[in-house]
Amino acid sequence: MAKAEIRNTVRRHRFEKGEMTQQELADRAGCTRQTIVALEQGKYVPSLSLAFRIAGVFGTSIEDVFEFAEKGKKKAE
Amino acid sequence: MTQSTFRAAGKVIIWGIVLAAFTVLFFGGEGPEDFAGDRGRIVTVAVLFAAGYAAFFVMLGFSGKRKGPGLNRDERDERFESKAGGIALSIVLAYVYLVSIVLWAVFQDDGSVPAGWMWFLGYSTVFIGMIAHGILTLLLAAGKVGDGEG
Repeated sequence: MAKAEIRNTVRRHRFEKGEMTQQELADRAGCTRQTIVALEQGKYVPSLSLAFRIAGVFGTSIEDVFEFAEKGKKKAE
Repeated sequence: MTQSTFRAAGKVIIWGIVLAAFTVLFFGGEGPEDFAGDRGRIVTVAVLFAAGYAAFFVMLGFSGKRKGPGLNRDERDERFESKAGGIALSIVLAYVYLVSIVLWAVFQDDGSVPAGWMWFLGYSTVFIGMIAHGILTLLLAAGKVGDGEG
């Protein structure tokens, strides 16, 4: 079975929301700035709860921010 | 710096100082073989141990949750601490085993191990466990050790 990967567009959404800072996003999502940094660098996979809170800060759905993809498989068109 | 990394650094510093002082007390004076019969050194080490825990709890209280800006922690920190705890437990178990084997090898011809070395094993196990957990937490937070994610 191909290994699963969670990709995110947190950084892009953050800049689209009036260049929100990492600290501000962390405060509103209820996590630390270091976690936001790790998320944006692709070094951390958040829990479902945190993922929903982050999507809620951006006022969008969780699928808009986080993408589940299996490594080695191309994204469906 | 998060609450988790602050506490980990504090743990390493506090227990590192206590371990250093304990090492001087234990190997100094009349040496480890006479430690068990030296009431002065036993009491001093006990006071040192209590002071270490007092400083540790003060540090925990100082870094506790506060309203407004300050040290905070989240799920990622808890994951680091949990993983560090598991690895530190393995390190402590290996340490106790190694020290026990070394003591047996050194004193097997004597027929018994001086009681002072039991004090050493007891105290040093606590110090090693605390320091190991602190260092591992810091390494995991810095991304130097993989946490299985990303």
